Order: sequence, then C-alpha cells, then structure tokens
Amino acid sequence: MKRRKDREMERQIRSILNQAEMEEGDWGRPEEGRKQETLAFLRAQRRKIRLRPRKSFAERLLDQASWLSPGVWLGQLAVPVLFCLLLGNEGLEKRDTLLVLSACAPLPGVIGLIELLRSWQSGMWELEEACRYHLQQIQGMRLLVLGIADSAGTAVVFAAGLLNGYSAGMLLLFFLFPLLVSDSVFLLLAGVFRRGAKGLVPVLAGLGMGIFWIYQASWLLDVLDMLHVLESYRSLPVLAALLFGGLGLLAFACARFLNETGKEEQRLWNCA
Amino acid sequence: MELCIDRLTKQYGHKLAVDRVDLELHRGVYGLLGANGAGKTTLMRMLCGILTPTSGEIRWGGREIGSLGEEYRSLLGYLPQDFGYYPEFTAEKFLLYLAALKGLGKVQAGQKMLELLDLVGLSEERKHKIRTFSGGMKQRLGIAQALLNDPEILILDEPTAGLDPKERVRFRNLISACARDRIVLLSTHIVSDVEYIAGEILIMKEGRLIHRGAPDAITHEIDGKVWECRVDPARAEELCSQYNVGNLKNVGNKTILRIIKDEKPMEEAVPAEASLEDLYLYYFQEEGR
Amino acid sequence: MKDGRAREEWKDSELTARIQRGETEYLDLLIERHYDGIFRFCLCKTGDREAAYDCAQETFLHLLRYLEAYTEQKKFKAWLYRIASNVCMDYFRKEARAPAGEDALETLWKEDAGFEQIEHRELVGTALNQLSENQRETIVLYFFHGFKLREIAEITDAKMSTVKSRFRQGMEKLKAYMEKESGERREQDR
Repeated sequence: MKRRKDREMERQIRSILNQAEMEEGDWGRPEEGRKQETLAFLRAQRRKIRLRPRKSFAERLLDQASWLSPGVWLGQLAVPVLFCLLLGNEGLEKRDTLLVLSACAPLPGVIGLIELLRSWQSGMWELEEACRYHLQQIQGMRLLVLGIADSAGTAVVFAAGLLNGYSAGMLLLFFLFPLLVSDSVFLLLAGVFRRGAKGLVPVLAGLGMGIFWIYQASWLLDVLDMLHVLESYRSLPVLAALLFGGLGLLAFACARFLNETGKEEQRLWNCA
Repeated sequence: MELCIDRLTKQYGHKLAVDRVDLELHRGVYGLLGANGAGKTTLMRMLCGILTPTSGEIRWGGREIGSLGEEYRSLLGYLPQDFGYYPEFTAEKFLLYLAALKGLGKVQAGQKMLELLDLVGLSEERKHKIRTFSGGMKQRLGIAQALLNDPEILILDEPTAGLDPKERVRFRNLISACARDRIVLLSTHIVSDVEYIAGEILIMKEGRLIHRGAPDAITHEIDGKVWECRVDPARAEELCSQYNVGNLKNVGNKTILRIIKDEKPMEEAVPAEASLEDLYLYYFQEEGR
Repeated sequence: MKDGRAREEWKDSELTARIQRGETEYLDLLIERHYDGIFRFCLCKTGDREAAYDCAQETFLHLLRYLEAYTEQKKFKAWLYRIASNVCMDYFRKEARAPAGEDALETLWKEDAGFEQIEHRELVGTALNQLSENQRETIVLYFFHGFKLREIAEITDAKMSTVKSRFRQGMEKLKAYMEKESGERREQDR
C-alpha cells in the first residue's frame, strides 16, 4: 500500500515537473532581441574559425588509392593475369615456365617503383612535402596500397600455380622470393633512381633484375634437377628462411625508403 | 599567434645559406627582398618544414614547429619557386588532389576548388591540362593551391617570376585581397612586387637579414645617398660602368642618371628622394654589376 | 546523409559529422537549436539574467574553439552542457560568488509568471528550493532538459552513483514536500 502511494506520489511529481517544463511561458526564455544579437555575433565568430578536422587512416588510404595513376591499376591487374596464363600454358615445359616466371617477377616492383618516384620526377614533391599529410605519409600510404595490391596478385598467382600442379615450394622459390628481393632492391636504390632520368631508370632496373633472376633460376633448376626434387622441393626450414628473409628484407627496405623520403635536405642544395 | 624565428641557421658544408636569422612575424604582408643566392628560398623551406635547420628554432604560438608537425602544416600555404604537377592533371584535379593532402573533405574540397579557380580567374580552364597553361596561368593556379586550406601562414617564393607586368599587378592585388587575417611572407627580387602591398620589408643578403622596416621608413637608411644628374649620352655610358646606376632616362639630348653612392658622385649631381629600388641596388650593387 | 529531410530535422550527430568534415556553416543551425536550452541552464545556475546571457555566449564561443576536439563518443548535447556548466563555474570564480541561492529560482519563476500560473509555479519553485544545489541541478537537467542520468554524470563531472543518489534524494525531498503541502491543503479545505 505504501509502495503504491510512493509510486503515485512520484508520478505526480514527475507530472508536475514535466508540466512545469511545458508551461514555462517566458520563464527561462531569452529576450528575442538579445538572442538575435548573440546569434549574429556567434555567426561572425564562426566565419573566422578555421576548422581542420583530421581524416582517419582508412580515409587517407582510400584517398591515396584513388589518386594512384590508372596505369598502376592496369598493371596490377594485367601482371597476375599474365602469370596465370603463363602457369596455365600447357604448351610450355614446367622448367621453362619457372624460368619465365622468375624473369617476370620484378614486374610488379617496376610498376610500383614508377608510381613511387612520380612525386620527384614530376616536381610535385615540394608541394606535397608542405601539405598536412606530407610526402612521407603519402609515400607510406602508396607503399601500403601497392603492397596490398601486390599481395592480392601474389595470392592469385599462387592459386593459379597450385591449380596447375606447381607446388607452393616451387612458387616460392621461382616467383615470391624473386618478387620480394626485387621490390627490396628497388626501394633501397630509390634514392639513386630519384635523381635519374624519368621513367626509364626503373624499367632498366627491372630488366636488369629480370636477367639476374633468369640466371639464378636456371642454376637453381639445375641443382634441383640434380637432386631429383624439381617437382617437389619441400625443405621447410629453407623455404621458411627464404620467405621470412624476403619479407624481412622488404620491411627493412620500406622503412629505409620512408626514412629517406623524410630527409629531403640530403639532396637539396639551394643558395637562393 | 606569432611566428618566431630564433637564430635560424642552415649550413651546407662551409657555406652558410641562412645565418642566424631572428624574426617575429605577425598578421600582415612581409616582403623578403634579396638577390639570387641570398638565402630566401632556404629560409622559406625551413619555415615550411621541408628543410631542417642546422641550428636555431622556428616557433608558432610558442611551440617549435617540428613538434607541432601536422598541426603546423595544416595552417600553412606554400607556393614554391618552381613547382611541378602530374602530367595527366587538369587544374581541377590538381587542386582536388592537394586539397585531399591538406585534409579537406570531398565536399569542402569541391567548393574550395571552384571558389579559388574563380578568384584567380581560371574557372574556364578548370578542365584543361596544366601542361597547356602559360607561365602566368600556372602561377595563378599555384596561388590557388596555396589558399586551399585557408592558411594562417602563406609563404610565396618568387611568385611573380616569369609574369608580365599586367599579371604581376593582378597577382599583387590578389595577395592584398588575401592578406587579411594571415601572415604572408613573399620573397622576390622585384621591388615593385612588394613596395605597395607589404607592411614590412625584410632585406636578406648572404644568408643574413641585414635590414627591415616599413617601405616608407626603410629608405631613410640611404637618405642622402641617391643622386640625379643630367649628362651627355656619351658620358652616361662611361658613368654607368663606374657607378651604381639605378635608372637611366633619355630626355631630349641629355641623359638623366640616378646614381646610388655614399658621396656626391660629381659636381652637377643633385640629391634625390630614395626609393625602395634604390635601397635594393645599394645593398646588392655587387650582384647588380 | 538523409537529404530528403529538412536540415532542421537533422540530428545533432548528423550536423556535427558535417561540421567536422569542414562544412562549418551548419554550426549556425546547431547553435540556434541549443541556445534557448543553454540560456535556461545558465539562468538556473547563475540566478541572474545578464550573467546567463554572458555565460550562454561564452559557452558557444568555447564550442567554436573546441569543436575539433569533440568526438562522437560523447553525446553532443551532454558535451555542450558540460561546457556550459564549466563556464558558469568560471563565472562564479571570477565574480567570487556562490552559485544561485535557494530563493533565486523561485524569484525568477515568479517574475515571469502570469497570475494564473503563479500558484502552480509557486509549488514547483518552492518544491525545487527544498533541494540542495546539486540535487536541483540533477532534477532540472533530467526533467527540463531531457538528459539521462548517465549524461547528467558527464555534464556535472560526477560519478554515476553520485548522480543516482542526488536524483533519488531530490525526488524523496520533493515527495516529502508534496506530501506536506497536500496535507496542509486538506487541513485548510476543512
């Protein structure tokens, strides 16, 4: 009984207070003239403020991805398709396929390198460096986007290779490892390439790496053939060492590239 | 808030590109005058965080700009002496790209892009590729990108280089219009670019700030050192090689020379009122020759 | 963004999202929407109309200055009222005054009331005056400004348990007062 009375009282209080809130009339209301004066003042102040909201990491990543040149996306699409066709080509011997695969492994790296060097080769670097999300961040984002695209391409190539009877070990030895090492070399030498001729230098570097990998692959194929493990090389420690070694080298090369990007003054000599 | 430059130095090997520059910049237009190699671009690059000083500090609102990082860059607008663009970029794409890097959202970037292209008179050319632009149009586009983020600090490095007189006037008017509520630092070796719009002139020589002051007051430094003389044209040529001549004008069969020299150069010379250009020539007479 | 509706119908979260993307013109709408409420809140706190105008303006100036720091994890209205609360406290410190006294609310209410509303207002006004300043603030924010207890905790920078306790004690005091009032009225009617 008491509790019902308490609840009833509480409802009454609530209703009185709620009704008071509705019936307030002029109480608590500002004078219209004063209010408009204040609002006008605040509108003037609002026009003076410079709001600089921060973009999230994902927004900036998507931004950079949208600004990569169309050629990069075409290349990123075309290269895995090329590899898939190569791996699926029954007219070629497996040995020859692996040689060509190694020779072409630097291709994604060349495409990426050309994109990464654009800022310097076009002369945009100085404008980009003075922006809020400056050159080091831009290059970091580009590396990440290209890395994601390359990883997706690699996954597609692996899938195609496995479906066509190539072992994961073979694909690692003749495709992934050369790809990782080529990318690392390009990034480590990017500082040198920056000062070089437009566009041609990365292509020549790619050719050079391609020739290197042909020789390397040819030698490796002979060795594996000799050991009778050409189709089924499975030494996990070696493969793991190559994989993690390659990834480690790439991570180091990326860090060094970004670090050097932030030290533009090393190459600037300006007495003006 | 003020931009404080505290004993700023940049050294490359034995060369002092910027030598212990001390400055405090508040809202207004500052004209940085100096010959090629004076250190103007190096100073500006340090202000933009592109170069790291060898010693000294740059502070914004009492905080060192290196520690502010993105916060500082977000209120900066910079037009380099020479800027490039991606070959496929149109004026519109160029501004939208840089707007994204300056942190503007898509809607805001679109609005700002249209507004600024209109301001610099490039609305009609917005879908044209930048490589088809003249030098003047490119500079105007450069100014537009520098204003995208409504910067509190605007740094313009030789923005009128390569522009014809009409475009230079247009550019000056544009700067004057944009200079309210911000710090504008404008470097040039063309005196008329800053004479009428700068609230303060800074003169830089061999990496050092050798003189500063309001345009009408700074010339007091060379009061009594500017002379005009009327001579025969034949003699005029000889005098040009001997003295620091600011101006040479043929009037009738005589030539009027404007000479900058500490002492009276000749009997017939009369003192003239010093101008900013005279001051520039006085300081840079070695480079001028 | 639901562009089909009028801008006035957009929620605070929609407006703040647009503002933080740089569309600062929506700040005007946000300010207009909350001005009356903030004024009333400052009036309750300070007990003085002129002080309330000043504090309300200062609150919105703070909003303009610190909007970049606002994150959507906090409800905008609660965040704004928190600013208002701090601005009022700064006002008291500057003026070396205590917060609005017990009679202030009742006086203010009565000043603006029409004859027919006085009796009702008197009841509410004197009822609220039974409460301590903290209890009254909690009740006013709950009933007059529509805040949940969790939001009131954010605004007043108090623990949730403290706010619940203030609310409960406030309601009990109001209940006790109402019981006493209705008892006295029954006596009078006899």
